[in-house]
Amino acid sequence: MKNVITYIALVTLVLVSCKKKKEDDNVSTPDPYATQKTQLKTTYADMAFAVYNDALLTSQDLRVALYAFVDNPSLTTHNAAKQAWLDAREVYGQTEIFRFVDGPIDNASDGPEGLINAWPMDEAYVDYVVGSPNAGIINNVATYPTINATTIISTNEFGSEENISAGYHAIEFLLWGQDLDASGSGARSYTDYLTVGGTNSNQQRRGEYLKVLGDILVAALQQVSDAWNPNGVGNYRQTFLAMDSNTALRKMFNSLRVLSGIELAGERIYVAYENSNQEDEHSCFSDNTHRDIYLNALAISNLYKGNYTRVGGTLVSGYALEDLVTEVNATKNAELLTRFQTTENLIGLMYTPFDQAIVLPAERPKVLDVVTSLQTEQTVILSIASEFGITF
Amino acid sequence: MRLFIGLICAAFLVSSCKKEPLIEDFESTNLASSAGSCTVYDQTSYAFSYQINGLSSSESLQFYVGNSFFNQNWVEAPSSTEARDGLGPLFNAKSCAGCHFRDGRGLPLMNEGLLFRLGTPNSDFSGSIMDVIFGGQLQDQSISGVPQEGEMTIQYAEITGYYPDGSSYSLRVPTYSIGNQQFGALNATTRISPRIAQQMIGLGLLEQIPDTRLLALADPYDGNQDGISGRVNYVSDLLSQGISIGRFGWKANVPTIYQQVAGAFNGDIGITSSMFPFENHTAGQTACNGFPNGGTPEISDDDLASVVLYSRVLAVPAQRNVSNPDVTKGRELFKQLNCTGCHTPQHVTGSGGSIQALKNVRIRAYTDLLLHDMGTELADGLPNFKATGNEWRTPPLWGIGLIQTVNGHTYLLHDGRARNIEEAILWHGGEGERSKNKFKELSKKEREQVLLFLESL
Repeated sequence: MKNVITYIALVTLVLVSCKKKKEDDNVSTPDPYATQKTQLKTTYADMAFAVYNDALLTSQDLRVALYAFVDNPSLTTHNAAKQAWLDAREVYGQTEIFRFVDGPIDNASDGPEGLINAWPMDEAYVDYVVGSPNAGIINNVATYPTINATTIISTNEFGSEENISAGYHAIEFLLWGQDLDASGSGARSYTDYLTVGGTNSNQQRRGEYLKVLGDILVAALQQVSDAWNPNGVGNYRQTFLAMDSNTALRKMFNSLRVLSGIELAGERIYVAYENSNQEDEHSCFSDNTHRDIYLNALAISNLYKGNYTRVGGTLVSGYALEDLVTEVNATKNAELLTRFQTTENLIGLMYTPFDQAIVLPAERPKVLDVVTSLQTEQTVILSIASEFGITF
Repeated sequence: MRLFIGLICAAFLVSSCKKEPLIEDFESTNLASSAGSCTVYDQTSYAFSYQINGLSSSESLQFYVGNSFFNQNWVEAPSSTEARDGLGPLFNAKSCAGCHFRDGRGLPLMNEGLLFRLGTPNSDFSGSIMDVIFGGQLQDQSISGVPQEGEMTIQYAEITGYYPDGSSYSLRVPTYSIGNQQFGALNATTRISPRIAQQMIGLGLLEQIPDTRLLALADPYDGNQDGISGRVNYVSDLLSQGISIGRFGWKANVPTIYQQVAGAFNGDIGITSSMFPFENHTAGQTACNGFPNGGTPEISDDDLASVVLYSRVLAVPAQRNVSNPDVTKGRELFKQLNCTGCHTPQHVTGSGGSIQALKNVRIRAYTDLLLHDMGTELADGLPNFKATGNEWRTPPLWGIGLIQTVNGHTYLLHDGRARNIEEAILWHGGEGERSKNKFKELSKKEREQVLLFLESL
């Protein structure tokens, strides 16, 4: 009941402040932070382009490595492809702070997020799994006679949020295979791709599938990168920069709170913790989930601090939320910065691989500590957002 | 498939964006609470997927566990995926989200959120009397080694109608049948009742509307002579082991969210639970026997409870564009036409239940949760408990304008035959006939205002 009252009070405040602002507009009293909010939009757009462009460039490297592997399967080309995947993920995790606000990555009309990072995947939908040697699109020649982008795109998320047939995690599964080993990652052999004398069936189709996944990933990231390109004409960057500054600010806070308290704390960590099950970890085939968690958390502080370090080492930065919040409420700013550091430290304390961190009794509490810290992070973010009359 | 639908929708969105900017802003577009503190102000394609405010820390976290069981596919047993094996042997979907995509609404297509309920045109204490071979529902998919029951077949015929002002409209009339029947033929008297998966928002609030409120709204003999009766369905309650008022399902044939969720796991995915301990095939379907199950029961009580909690606490999106004068006019007309005779705007939830945040909330759900005769054209001829073959429960209208954003379509009614809100209104018959006719007599401008109001919900 107290919550309800607080909430009603909050809503009233918001309505009052909106009304007040409108009246202010009538007498031409400008928003005291109008200039700063405009600068924030530019920083946001610059960072979005930098990180998505890095994601594009690393996905192009990944695609080259996937082609090299399929055209000449060996331990060496296989390992090179895996490394290229891991390198690409180091960037992609940092892009996710631009999600959840119907931007270029995941708007309802043509956002390609489902073709890039959808998870968890029902691996048996794509390829064989233990006990089902004929499972998956790769082994279903009758229904899917041709493996091409049309086949894969039209089946992605078809019929279920989990029927994932494309994206990083589909590539991950085709490189690593099911993770059946407590101490390590999936152990798929490169021989699954040998068209002569290979292991398992449909090696040719598996290779074709992997190549097409590389093509789709590059195309999807190209689309998002283009949408943020400062040299683009009529693209989303221009829409964003022209957007009402308070609308843009709301988007920033929305992404911050969803990624911290909902997506990362809830869906990506707590569910795996509660179920004690690697099916629920983000990168379950490669055992790279600890990096996903670290990079998502980093993405949150990146946006807040207005900093992103590009793959080549170039720093992209500008007027940041941190600067604005310091002006409005320095105490809360300090609180959030401390929280970011606490979260990062706690993530560093988690056992790796993550699939063991959620199982080993002595290690589980450390996972829950991260969840709790991210929830607190969300609470602080919501409290800061309310300073600007923004509620969710 | 979904991508193509998405692309088509993109065109719609772009054109509508020009008229009204996409809503992420309290200032340029006016939002109104639709469920007090259980309102969510997000207007993105995730608008149906957020939890309500005010949950305890443990409820808030349990929500995500429920979410994962809602979204993720069940697989055939035995499997290394131990927590989620036991699919089938017969099933309609592999996950809840298979039909309720992003917690939203299904389409009248296989694999997209449509199923066929089956039964004979009588009702008894158990609900409706099932088909001897197929049971109470057509499962159109099966695990390997088991035949499918059959395929849903839909044919549409377009009929043209006219408004009094001379402008025309077209409705599509569906005909349903079952193709490729592999367990023998459907009984000659068995009726097919197609049902679309509904959006999941605000269900816990609907569950919390006091029984006394529903009984007060009911007018079974149309005492006020407005052409609208409104009856309560009394159904078997597997939790209380007694009879309770029905609230959920297209015929208000299920009393609680718990029973709805457990029933859907069993009927739609083939997952047994403490409440539904048997697989969903009939004794005559011997080809379903002898396959390994995913445990007894296949979903644990804890996991089921998580999905139930999840289903109770999905928040309701705020109403949008409330300061638009056309929306305001549309709301007045909605009332004048007596659409509110069934689509009751407001309720206050009771103080029972275990979730504090759902108590004493003023909600604008636009439903009375009662049964209404909707005329022969919408009738499925399949009674269910007290519901006759002509009756349907008034569906809540909150969130109706966001189905396009979340699910990329605007298909409505129990079987998705209406392609948009206007067609849904025009399908109203029986107790809805008077209001529909009054709607038809409105000017074009006024009809658009009614539709704009509904789209704002």
